Amino acid sequence: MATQETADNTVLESNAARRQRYEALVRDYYQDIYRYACWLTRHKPLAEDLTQETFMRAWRAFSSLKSQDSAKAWLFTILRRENARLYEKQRPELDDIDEHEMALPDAGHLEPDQQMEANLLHKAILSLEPEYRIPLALQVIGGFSGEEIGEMLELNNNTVMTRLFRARNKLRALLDGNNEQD
Amino acid sequence: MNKIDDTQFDQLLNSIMKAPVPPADLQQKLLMVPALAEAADLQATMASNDSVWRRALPVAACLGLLLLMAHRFQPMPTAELEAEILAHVYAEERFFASSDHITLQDMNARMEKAIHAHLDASPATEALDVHLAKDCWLAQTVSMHLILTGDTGPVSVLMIPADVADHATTFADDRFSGTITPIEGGTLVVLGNRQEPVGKYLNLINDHMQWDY
Repeated sequence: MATQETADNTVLESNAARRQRYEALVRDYYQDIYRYACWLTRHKPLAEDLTQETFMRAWRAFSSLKSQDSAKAWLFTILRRENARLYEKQRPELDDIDEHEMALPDAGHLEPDQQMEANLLHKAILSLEPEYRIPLALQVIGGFSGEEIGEMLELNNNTVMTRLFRARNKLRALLDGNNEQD
Repeated sequence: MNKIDDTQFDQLLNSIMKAPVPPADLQQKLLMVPALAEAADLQATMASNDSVWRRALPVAACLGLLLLMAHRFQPMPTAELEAEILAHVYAEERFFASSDHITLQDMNARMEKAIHAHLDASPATEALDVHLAKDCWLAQTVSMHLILTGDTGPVSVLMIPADVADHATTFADDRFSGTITPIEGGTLVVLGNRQEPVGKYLNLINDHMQWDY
């Protein structure tokens, strides 16, 4: 009887602790996960669905998260896999991005020139090929190193660094070209 | 426009890529995921098993329909809370037959740990025949579930340390009837057989329950 109660309490405590750890994970990372989903899908309603699916999957697989230190990379990886599983094969690649859906919030503090640059860069990122856009999003939003991105995307470090370099160059060239026209 | 340098470019890139703002209710929806997963698992178990679960199928169907209507992660209104409570009680029905007796002291230790509350010692609370006291997840909150011996059968007392009901309501299915009552510090649910005078347990618990703030 006493043994049974102790065992019950252990299970109950671990359930409560698991929920607390999950809730901490939501609070710490849901905004970055949503942002990454936005750049992955280029569609905000889809990004919201994908974020929910990601956390549902994370909750169900919570026991596989061995260390809180790796939680962020774990979530980003789940999201990319959920996107591949749920949407990539079922949804044709969007030729016309819904620019209203993905519109850049108006930054009131920017000068008109700066706002124009921001809009230009925003459109340019949206039109980047996924092989460039995804590592860039992982680096900028997730703050991951080339090596970490390589592990997440199953690419070697050199390939990741090359793609990041090219992604920035493409965006820079676009911005600079536009500036020269002015 | 002037050409921007690398630092300005990085700042601009950073601000644009971090610009998407999650919908206001997204965090709340994500916090509900464990409860929804639990409800979905319960439905799956009920659907795949016979015997005890067969009686619970209408409740599961009702819960599923309500969840569907609520479009996945919407907050739960009273009807869904009632359905969640019924589903939870059916899920815990296996404990009804337990012959364990949990002392007031032991029960209070578990309550303190789970919901930071206890029942005052008194002849009435000492006389309660409690055979289950465990924490559970209800209404997105760690709550307490007591099962005690009532006049006509097992009585479930659910203590939710959150204001999940703004007025007292009664509810029932073809087997159980119960009450949901807002109390100071949370919500108290008492559920028993349809003939069970649940009001007396509601009053007894409410009169002796103390929250540790």
